[in-house]
Amino acid sequence: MSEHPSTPPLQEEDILLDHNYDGIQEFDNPLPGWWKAIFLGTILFAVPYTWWYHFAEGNSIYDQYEADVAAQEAREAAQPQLETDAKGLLVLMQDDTHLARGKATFSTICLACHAADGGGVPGLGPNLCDDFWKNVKVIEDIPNIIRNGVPGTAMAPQVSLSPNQVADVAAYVASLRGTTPANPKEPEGEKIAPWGN
Amino acid sequence: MQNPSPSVAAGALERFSYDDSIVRKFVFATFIWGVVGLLVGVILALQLADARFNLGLEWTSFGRLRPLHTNAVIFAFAGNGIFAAVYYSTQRLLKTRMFSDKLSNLHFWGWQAIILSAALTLPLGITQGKEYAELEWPIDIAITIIWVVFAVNFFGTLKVRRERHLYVALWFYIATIIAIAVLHIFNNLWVIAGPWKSYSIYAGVQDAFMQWWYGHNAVAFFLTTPFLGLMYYFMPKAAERPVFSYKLSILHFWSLVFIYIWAGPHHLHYTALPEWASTLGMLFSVMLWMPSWGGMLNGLLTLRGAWNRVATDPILKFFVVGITFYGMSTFEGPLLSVKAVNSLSHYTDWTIAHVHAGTLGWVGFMIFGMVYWLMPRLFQTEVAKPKWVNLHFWTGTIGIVLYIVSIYAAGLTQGLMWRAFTAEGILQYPDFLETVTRLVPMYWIRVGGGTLYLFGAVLGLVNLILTWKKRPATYEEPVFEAPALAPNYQPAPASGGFMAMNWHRAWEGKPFKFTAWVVIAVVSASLFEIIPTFVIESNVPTIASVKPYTPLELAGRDIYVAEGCYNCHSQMVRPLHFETERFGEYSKAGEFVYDHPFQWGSRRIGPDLARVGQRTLTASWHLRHLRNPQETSPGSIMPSYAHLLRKEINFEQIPRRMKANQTVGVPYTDDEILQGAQQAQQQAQQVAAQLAKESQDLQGFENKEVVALIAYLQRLGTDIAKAPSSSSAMQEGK
Repeated sequence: MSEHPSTPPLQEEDILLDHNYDGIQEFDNPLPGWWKAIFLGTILFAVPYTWWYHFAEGNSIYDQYEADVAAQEAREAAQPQLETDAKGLLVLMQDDTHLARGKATFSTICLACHAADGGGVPGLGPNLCDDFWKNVKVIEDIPNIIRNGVPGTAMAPQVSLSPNQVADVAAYVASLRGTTPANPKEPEGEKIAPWGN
Repeated sequence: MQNPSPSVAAGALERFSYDDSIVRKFVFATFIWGVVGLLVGVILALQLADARFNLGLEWTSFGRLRPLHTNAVIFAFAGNGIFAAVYYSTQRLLKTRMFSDKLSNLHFWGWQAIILSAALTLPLGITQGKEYAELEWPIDIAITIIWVVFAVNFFGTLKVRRERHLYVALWFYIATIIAIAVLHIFNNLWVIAGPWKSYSIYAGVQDAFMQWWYGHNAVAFFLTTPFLGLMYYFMPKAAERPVFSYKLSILHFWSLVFIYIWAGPHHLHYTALPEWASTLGMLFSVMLWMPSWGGMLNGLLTLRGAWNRVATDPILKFFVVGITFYGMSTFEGPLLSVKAVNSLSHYTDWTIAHVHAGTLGWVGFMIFGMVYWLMPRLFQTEVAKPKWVNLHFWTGTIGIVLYIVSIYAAGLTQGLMWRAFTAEGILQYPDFLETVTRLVPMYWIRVGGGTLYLFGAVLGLVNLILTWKKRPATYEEPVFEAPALAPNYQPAPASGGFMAMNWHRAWEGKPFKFTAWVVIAVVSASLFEIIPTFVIESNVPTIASVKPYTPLELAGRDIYVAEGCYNCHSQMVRPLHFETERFGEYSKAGEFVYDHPFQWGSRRIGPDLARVGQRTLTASWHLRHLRNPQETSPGSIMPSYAHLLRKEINFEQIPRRMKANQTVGVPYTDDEILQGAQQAQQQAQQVAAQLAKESQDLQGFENKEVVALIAYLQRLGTDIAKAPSSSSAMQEGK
């Protein structure tokens, strides 16, 4: 094989094998030590990893999941039972923590039909930001509708929500009234009195 | 080393020439399909940045075009590139013309016909619904036949060789041909349900396992081993330097071939796949790091003494950057396979960035370097625009960097948003859409990066055409001389112990023994995982309440598959707290026993749909959302599926499809199949009546495809809620 004129001579320790394939030659260099060491390390790594996930107590992905859920359930159990009468909801409406919880539920479930900002979607859910309501006369009607739905409409009973989640999301929905959504749907139903009156 | 020359000298001197016209054909096909595949990629990137680029046509929606992009770049661009490399280098490494020019041409034209049929069927929604294995059964058969043609031609060439020993590039070609044949056949076992419709014989967990055994090893044996072979020939040729270490070649080849096969399950971490399989896939993925880097080392260290030329020779630049990306991707791969990392990266753009670093960087740049090296040799004239080669290199490199940096950022952003809890333990970004719209600016940067990369490929294609135009009136076909191999060769006895590797030198002189060892490595590693996955019953605990789909739901599922919904929506809630908070109870293996094929997906551009039926979304919501996603979900990047409101359900074909499902194990009775069309019509009328009841403007949909899809979506993930008790279901998931 002809060496390129600008390449320096081969290093001393390189031993050229007598292989020649269409002019391609090969050195008989040993495997780099660090390469061998890491390769061996990645093989040995299998032992502690398998032990950790499959033999040590409580580390499987299901164990970890159940621990996370248990922690969440403990947090929820520590919460007092929330009231969903008018008084209870009006109190929750003043509490940022509860409104944030309500908003989280709203943003996973309710937004599909009522829009992310509560402005409503044509053909689906009504605008929750104006003073006109179809099935609500007083504030405590809101949690009832969330629990039971409105028969014959797209509003289904929200059976997956816990009682406290219903309370929080009802308070959040009530708090939307008077806000200005980006694309408000035209009013539906009748104008009702302000909450708590 | 032992000198085989006594036996070589015994052969008579023979004259031969190489077939370069087949290489020219494959080189042209590589660049033409490369530009097409990359162009579709840029269109997809635009669609994710702005849904209007879906053009409102059923044939151009993201779900239908994405398989076209992946198939075009993998099997057309990379595939033709591999064949160009194999046909050019094999002849020279073995001192012989290809076994049969007829087979070479049959291979070439057959492969192009397969690509063309893919390009025609995928936009029509003809798909098996399994990633990188979308092509329907008639094309599967054609691929098998053409692959056999290729194999016969290649192994025939080994048979008539005039070089005793096989060079390392050929080892990698052998591994490619063997492994791809095994993977293709066993992931595409189906029962036919029509001229362009089949159902996978595997269901749910097992289908997922087979698919990712295939999917991961398609990366290994279509995008890695043949390109290592390419590197081992063209890199030392271009650098004019010997390969760094023969011993390293041997060790990294065998470890790569054996270990790669095991790693597939790392695509299914935290899914309903049994945990042991997931762990096994992860451990072998980590072990793959050094075998992969062995290839990188042998590539880069071959440049010792030639580094000064890298600054001036754009071909070496392509190779150096390509090999560097290979090193980067093969470090990142093991990293992503660690379960804890994967819980963050999976379903996000991180995977997309990882894949594109590998394909744009390694696969693309190795092909470009090779073609520019081949151009003057194949067309026997100077490259028409030498400065463009350098320009191609730089636009390509900048394109890759823009692409991957923005998409790594997008992946991390979305992964972190999905898992973010507030201090009170509630999801910080409960609205999934918010985690999508946040990525749109990064998607625009990707459009820029992809366009630059495409621009470079177009430069390459034009340069290729201009160079071809300068070709001589007739190509010179030099005649070479070499002695034939002596028939009764006995290798010298191996000496010097195992690490001296002389035993391997003997294998290299026996290509069919060598191939047998490759088959053993690939097949045994596969069986170690496949057999337990299929025979251990506890892997898929049955859930009594999970029932087969109704005829209409099955028709809806076929639409879901045809539209390629799985390209953007997963159907797999992982046992992770942030995930069950968002989507509901995590998915159990037993829920998927009637899913032929599985539709777990690999990327969540839209939300998971495994439990969408449990959500209180009404039929009219689904219809409005499918007709115009932006109406119900402002800012959504989902394309419109308005055509489903126009197209009629083909009720007559439902019984045949149920029959095919029955054949693969879904317990439909013969009576049910007989009544299938009628049953489906009844349910369709119910859904249509529900639509009309919910909204007066939604009348007359009882024969439309949208009704079938809605029925399927409303069924998804609901059976488990009918289970006797949810705590026992939790136990069954283990």
